[in-house]
Amino acid sequence: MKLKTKNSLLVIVVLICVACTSQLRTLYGPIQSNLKGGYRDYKLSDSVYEISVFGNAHAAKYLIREYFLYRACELTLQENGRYFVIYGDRSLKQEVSVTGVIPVKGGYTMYNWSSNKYLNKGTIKIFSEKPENAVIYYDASLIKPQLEPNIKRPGEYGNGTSSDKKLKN
Amino acid sequence: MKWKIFLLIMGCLLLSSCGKYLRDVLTYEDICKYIKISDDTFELHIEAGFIDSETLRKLFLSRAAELTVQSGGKYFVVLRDNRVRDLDGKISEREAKLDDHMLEMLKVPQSTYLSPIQLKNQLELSNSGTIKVWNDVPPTWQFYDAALISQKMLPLAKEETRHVGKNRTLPKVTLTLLLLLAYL
Repeated sequence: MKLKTKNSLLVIVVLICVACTSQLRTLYGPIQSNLKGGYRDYKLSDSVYEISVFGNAHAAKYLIREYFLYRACELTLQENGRYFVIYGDRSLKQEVSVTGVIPVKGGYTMYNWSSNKYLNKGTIKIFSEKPENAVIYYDASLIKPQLEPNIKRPGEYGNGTSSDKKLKN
Repeated sequence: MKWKIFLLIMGCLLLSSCGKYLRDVLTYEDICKYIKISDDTFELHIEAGFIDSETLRKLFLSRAAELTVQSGGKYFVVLRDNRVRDLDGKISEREAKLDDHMLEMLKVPQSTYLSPIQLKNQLELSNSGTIKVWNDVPPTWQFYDAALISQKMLPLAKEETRHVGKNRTLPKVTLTLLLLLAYL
């Protein structure tokens, strides 16, 4: 194959990859791989859970927060509770970058792509009555319906909220 | 020749999608997100691409005031306040032109330069927090008057989001153009 044809093919592949990967945001579900992200939780005692939500490079920080709160609501309602309090609420960021070369006419050019991956971690305690001593408490029955439209599970992808797509642009 | 035509068509398709992004700017509602977490408490999250910390704060307080008024309250208290500045000690040429106050606050040298793509990641600022709405004066000295903020700050904040939203789309367009130019 001629060098010129090879170069053209490479450029096309890169352009298609850029276009395709821009839609692969984390979907809501248990974590399967670091590439896709997801949630993981452990039951620490009767009404206490530790929840971690891992985002991939295409998931906005706010989306990861929404997934975290949604999982907390699910666990609260599963345990027949209504309220939860978050302890050790943390949002962390990890920077990921890819560097490489693309052959162009008469040589090569370097490209660099970098993005951030977010993680939201915390321990929740579930209550059936309003927790009196907590300054900030969360009402699962109030929060869950608000988040429902933004929760995209595997197989449902394609109707991502426009605001999330915009945030990642 | 065939390949060049094919590539040009591909480039045009990609550019048209970028054009969509250019028009599809972030609105005030996209940047200033919130969740009602209990009867009188809201969790707010303010985030956009290119934004300075003063605008960010203005948006946070404006959104909080707006929610307070909408839920029938008069005052609000910020229970949790998480302001993030992800600067790495580097600054762009554009950023270097910002006012002295901003530079002093961010504590960054003016000598280093970052490309727009890197800048997007470096200058990712956000302000998240939790606010509680009160009908009467809250039992703390640190509270905000929602009516006052809504009247003075909200119109300005909404106006500023127009610029913030547009700027965020630039890195993607720049990258596409650079890729095309590099080849052609």
